[in-house]
Amino acid sequence: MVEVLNLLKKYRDILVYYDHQPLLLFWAVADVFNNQVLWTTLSYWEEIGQPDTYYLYLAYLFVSLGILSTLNRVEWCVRFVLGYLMLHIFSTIRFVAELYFTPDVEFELYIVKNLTITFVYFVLWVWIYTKMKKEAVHRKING
Amino acid sequence: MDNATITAIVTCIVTGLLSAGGWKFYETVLKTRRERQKEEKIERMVYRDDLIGRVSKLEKEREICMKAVTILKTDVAAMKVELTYVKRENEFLKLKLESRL
Repeated sequence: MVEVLNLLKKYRDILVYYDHQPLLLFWAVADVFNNQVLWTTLSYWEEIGQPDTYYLYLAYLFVSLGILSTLNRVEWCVRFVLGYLMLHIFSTIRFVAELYFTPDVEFELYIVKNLTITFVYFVLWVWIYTKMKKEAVHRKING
Repeated sequence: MDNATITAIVTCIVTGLLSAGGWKFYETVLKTRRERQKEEKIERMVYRDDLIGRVSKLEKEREICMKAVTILKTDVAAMKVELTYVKRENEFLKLKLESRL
């Protein structure tokens, strides 16, 4: 029981005190290399009837490169992180709304899995954004 | 543009606006707290400067008083010696007067 409490306390400490920069760096690098814009073409997405998805990936690529290039300037980097968070919210809400507006859709297990993972990513980006924004605000006030 | 996209865009705009408002409020709260701390610091510094001035003034007065006390001590010692001689002379004169009578 004590061990579990210690573990939970450690989780809390990690979220409150640990830095986000290494995570952001690895995430942004992975996101750039995993971006579909680098591995597919617009015509491919047009063929499968999702041309907008290509542009969404393009936006993700732009934001990821922005994060990578401004990691040393928190005031700018936080804007790109907000952009990433907004894209994430946009994609998620669009997915949920599509499910809602599509008639006779079956709520299958993979949808629950996708939404759960998306929620975890959402919490991750909110956590990173909050930490960075707090740092930026404190820097602005204290000069 | 389909309904899902419009819903997503509206949600993003609302979230962005709420987030911006929330951070602006947080910034204002921090600024107010910081200004209050600055004012308190200035007040403490003014009080400290006043105390430094007063202590310096009291030190000077103390030195003057110490000098006066030293002079007074010397005078008192001289007067004590003089008094001893005056007493002795007085005794001598008393005895002289008694012998005449």
